[in-house]
Amino acid sequence: MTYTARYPEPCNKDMQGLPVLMLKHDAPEQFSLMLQQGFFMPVPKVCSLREFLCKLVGVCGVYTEKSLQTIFLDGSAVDDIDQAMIRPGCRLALSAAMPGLVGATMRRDGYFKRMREGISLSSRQEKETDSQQDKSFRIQVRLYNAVGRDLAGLFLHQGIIFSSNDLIHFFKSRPDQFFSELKNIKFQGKDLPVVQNRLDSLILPEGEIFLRVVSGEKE
Amino acid sequence: MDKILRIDVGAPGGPKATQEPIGDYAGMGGRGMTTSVVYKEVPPDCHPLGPENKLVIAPGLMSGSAASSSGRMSVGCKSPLSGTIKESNAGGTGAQALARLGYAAIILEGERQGDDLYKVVINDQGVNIEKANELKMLANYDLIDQLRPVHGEKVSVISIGTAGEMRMSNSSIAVTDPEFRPTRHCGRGGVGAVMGSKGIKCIVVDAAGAKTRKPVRPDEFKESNKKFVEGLKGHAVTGQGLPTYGTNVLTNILNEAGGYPTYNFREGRYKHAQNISGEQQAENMKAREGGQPTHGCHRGCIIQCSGIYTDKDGNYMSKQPEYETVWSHGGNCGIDDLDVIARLDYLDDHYGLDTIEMGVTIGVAMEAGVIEFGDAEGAINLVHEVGKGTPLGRILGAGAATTARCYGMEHAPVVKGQALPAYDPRSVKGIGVTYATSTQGADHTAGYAVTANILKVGGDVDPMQTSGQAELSRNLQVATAALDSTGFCLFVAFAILDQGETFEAMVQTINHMYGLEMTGDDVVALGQKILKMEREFNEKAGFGPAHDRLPRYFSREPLAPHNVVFDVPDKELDSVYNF
Repeated sequence: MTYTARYPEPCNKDMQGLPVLMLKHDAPEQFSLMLQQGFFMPVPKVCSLREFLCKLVGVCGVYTEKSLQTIFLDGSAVDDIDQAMIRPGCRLALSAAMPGLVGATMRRDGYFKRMREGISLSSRQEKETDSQQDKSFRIQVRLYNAVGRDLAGLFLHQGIIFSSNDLIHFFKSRPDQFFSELKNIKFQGKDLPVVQNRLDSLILPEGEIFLRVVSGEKE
Repeated sequence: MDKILRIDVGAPGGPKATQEPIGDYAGMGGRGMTTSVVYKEVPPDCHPLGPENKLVIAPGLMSGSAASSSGRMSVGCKSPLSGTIKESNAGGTGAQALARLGYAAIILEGERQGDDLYKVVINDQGVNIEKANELKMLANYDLIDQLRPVHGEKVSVISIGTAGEMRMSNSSIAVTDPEFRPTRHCGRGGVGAVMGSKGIKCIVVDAAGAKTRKPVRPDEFKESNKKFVEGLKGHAVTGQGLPTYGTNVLTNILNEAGGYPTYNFREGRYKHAQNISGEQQAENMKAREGGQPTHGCHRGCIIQCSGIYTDKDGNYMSKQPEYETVWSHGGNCGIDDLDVIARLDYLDDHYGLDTIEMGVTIGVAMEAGVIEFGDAEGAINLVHEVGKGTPLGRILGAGAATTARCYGMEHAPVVKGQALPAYDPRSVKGIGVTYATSTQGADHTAGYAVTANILKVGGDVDPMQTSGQAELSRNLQVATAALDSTGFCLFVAFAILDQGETFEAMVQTINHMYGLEMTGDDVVALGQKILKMEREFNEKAGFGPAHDRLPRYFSREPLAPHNVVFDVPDKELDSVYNF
């Protein structure tokens, strides 16, 4: 299903001191391939997965229930997104329903979940309290398959932390069509030209950068 | 589909074909047919390559009709790889062609006389068997190149490559796809070796003069098939996920779950998985000239999960490698280059090898030190060794278990001699139960039909019960055995899992085709009947509870990152066949 969301105000005012690259791109779903390899995202405080998705990212309601069918938190299959807690350093992966018996087995609260009970996220684990509840932290997120395509715009609108080298590599592998949707580049607050529909001239500092992508109608 | 073609390969003067009515085998198709014939006609204690074994080729019950996604073809025999009964199925154009010509089964039987190789040609005029020694030791793509000028591109070809001719325990039977390429394979269990032992190189099926099979109740059939198609199109997996990404969409998911067997099942995550994911594969195919990520392996398939994979210059490399292939040659061997994997997939198809068995065998060879993990060129060379039948190739072509034995290794990820597929049973224990207890050796598709809840196999099972992996596995195996008989692709099961009305539409489509009033209970009864025959055959062949086990190291060596072992009790494994 196509997700049409309300884009919440970016909550990450603190860019963690990283260089900031801001892009205006009218087809953010074309970033989905890079989102499968994982990116970091700042989170202001410990919260449930539902809160993270809905309040921080803007993924709420029907899409959460119907389309986010396969979820892993630190490699454990998630059944209840109200019990699963987003904590410092955790690794979150979001996916659509998957084929195969194993795909059915991994589905949220699916009929065959018993077959993977050894790697399911237990509610007992999740009810433990955390001493760092009020401190901001970062988590790693991976968006897979149709979910990556559907939610790329929302996550990028919030802003993600990504390796500079990997981002340059990603840009270099893009077809011309990708750059035809790229309208504006701003690095550290300064506008940069989009030269000949390429970003070859873009030089980013080593390490991590904070990337935010906005699309035309969502500015 | 009311006749059976028997080819006696030991007849005086060369193989002789006879046709007979379907008789006692009426109502059987696909796996139901192959299992029934092998159970009735093959002595369980025979040698798989001896004259007493038979090779049965059977389209599914719905093949050749207008029912969507019904082009699966089963091949059955006693397996040279596992020693058990075997059913292996594939898509491609073969099932539809055979069914339209009215054949419910082809049975190759008897003792080959001499070294001559034969080609069988079947059309609406009858059957012709020709000596074809000029085709000896041709690999599948080369064989097709030889057959094209003679028969055109509209026929279907069922063939063996060099591995089958050399009677290797890892050898497949190829079926041509709509582009007349030998890309769809009955891969598992060494069925190609049995065809090779009968001296038949290929079966050319020309259904040009035959029409689509007519349903007994055409209007009702049309209506139920329409609902079935709508159900498939409307479901997230069959309507979106599979057509967009193919089965390789599973790579990232299994990797995330820590159940992606890596480096010969040593680890559960592969750090370069994103390079070989379904998402990356779809991107490659979309970006490259000639690439086609959405494609049907046979005409009339609505799911379209196969594809065409090209290189950077737009040259054909292979069909879109499936998840199991990408895993076996990729993460399992430490290879993270999709183009290399496509090359390996092509070579497997070319020589006629099962991609799962071959990839696992290379993983074993890598652990043995034959080549290093990650050595892409070395892996390609090993497949060539197999295809050419060098001494090393003969060992590797005998499969993962034999290779491990030759190199003195415990780490042979096999059950009943057949390599484990792409899901580590320590992370997904329910799958481990199926691997251990399947009548076929380790086989992920043996319990693949996620329809058990809809079928209510075993009654209303409470999925919240804490124990009962065996019960779930049993129900899945029963459902799968039944679905394997219909000719419907197993992938229809995903829509059925969530949409009761799609299951109902599928059952009604079968009913209207045959004029039946079958219910879910009848489907369950068919599945149970097939499994009981297979189990009995295996028992008579010498298999018992001790063979229904995973290798012990899966219970001893924890798998990272979850550090879990396979700990389903033997008692529970032994209860799978309590029905």
